[in-house]
Amino acid sequence: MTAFARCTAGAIAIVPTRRCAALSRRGHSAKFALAGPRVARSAQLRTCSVTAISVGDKVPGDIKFNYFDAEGNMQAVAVDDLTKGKKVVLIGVPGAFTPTCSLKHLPGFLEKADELKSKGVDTIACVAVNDAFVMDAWSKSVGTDDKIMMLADGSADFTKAIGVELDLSDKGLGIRSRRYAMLLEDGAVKELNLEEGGAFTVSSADEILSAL
Amino acid sequence: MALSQALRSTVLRSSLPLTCSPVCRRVCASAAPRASIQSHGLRTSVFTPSLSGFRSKAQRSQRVASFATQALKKGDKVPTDIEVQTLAEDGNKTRLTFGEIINGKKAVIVGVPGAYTPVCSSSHIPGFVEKIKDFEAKGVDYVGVLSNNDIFVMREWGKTMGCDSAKIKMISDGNTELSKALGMTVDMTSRTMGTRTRRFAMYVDNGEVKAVSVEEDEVGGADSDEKTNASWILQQI
Repeated sequence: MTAFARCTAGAIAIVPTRRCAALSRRGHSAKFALAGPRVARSAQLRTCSVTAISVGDKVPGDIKFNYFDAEGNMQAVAVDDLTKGKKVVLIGVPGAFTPTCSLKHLPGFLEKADELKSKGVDTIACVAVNDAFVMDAWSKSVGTDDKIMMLADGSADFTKAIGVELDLSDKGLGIRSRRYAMLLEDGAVKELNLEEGGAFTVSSADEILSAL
Repeated sequence: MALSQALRSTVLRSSLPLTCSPVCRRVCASAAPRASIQSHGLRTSVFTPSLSGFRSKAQRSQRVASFATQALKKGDKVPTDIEVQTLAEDGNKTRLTFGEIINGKKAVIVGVPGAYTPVCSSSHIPGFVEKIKDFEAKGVDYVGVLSNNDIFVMREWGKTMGCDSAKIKMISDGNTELSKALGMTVDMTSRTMGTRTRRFAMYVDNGEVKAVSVEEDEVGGADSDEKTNASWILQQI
């Protein structure tokens, strides 16, 4: 099923019925709607409009990310454990090692990491739809050390759950995440700077800093 | 006796309404055949509708077998029309079909499950980097590493392993199409990596497979490159 994520400016996502139900349970505003007579004929293909996560929503707490710790061991962390009772800056990028991500987006946060921490941010984490090995190698290449946690959303579970997936199959990249920078307080979205695709306009560190 | 029973049960299955689920049809078919079919004395042909879910057991097991033997063998022609991404001379990514890449060349293609993963990075590919002179001496024109990571990841990975200077090329099968067509995929969802390319090494001469070896274990060679390392393929050329 193809899906267009609904950004704050407004586009409609078409997802299977069960996922619509799961998303509305998680607190997204997901409504069932019939897309047209042809689609309505099959009960399975009812569509629902899903919005991407927005300010005030809670992130899905049970989804896990993989990452490599300082000792080089693969660990898993649930979103809940990452965000409960903490101020977290979550950065979403389309792909590790891709030009904008590597040259502008992530380094921007690396520079401002200390400033963000001094303003009360407990954790800065970067999420991409890559596996943990690639995220670990990328973190070493960019030099994030322990300033930014590099989290692997290998099967795009988290990305799809918050409605920010980006279909880059025609570029040979498959399903990826839209670029974003999000400020979470105790798991709830306080500030969200979400790009349409992979553009880099509002999702920089400066925007998040000005929100703190 | 057994054969005619099988034929009857096949016909019985095909006579069930189409809205029945495959399970329902199997249950019904295992019941004793209705006397009316036998008493008609009609010459019924063995026909099962070929919609998915309605295949006979024999057809289903044949389908499974066809997947298992789908991996390319010696003497097969490689699929030439599948698009992959690779790096041009200037280092920028470019899209070519697999055929365009290996056209008219003696090529060694190495498949790996994942860039930056332990075995791929520490023994499998470094083995090829070390032995590149031996490959050139045997007349190999092209050595390529295939994985379904994207080209950006492959480019950086190649640099860290010295593939640039060894003139080993990186082929990114981003949508896993080529790996599927070669019959060399492995499901690594249990290791949170989704579907990946199975570890393999292949020697192709002008589009024809001259030698191929695949790691057939469950994890697609994630932990070993015994059968597919550089020494092995060098001996086959």
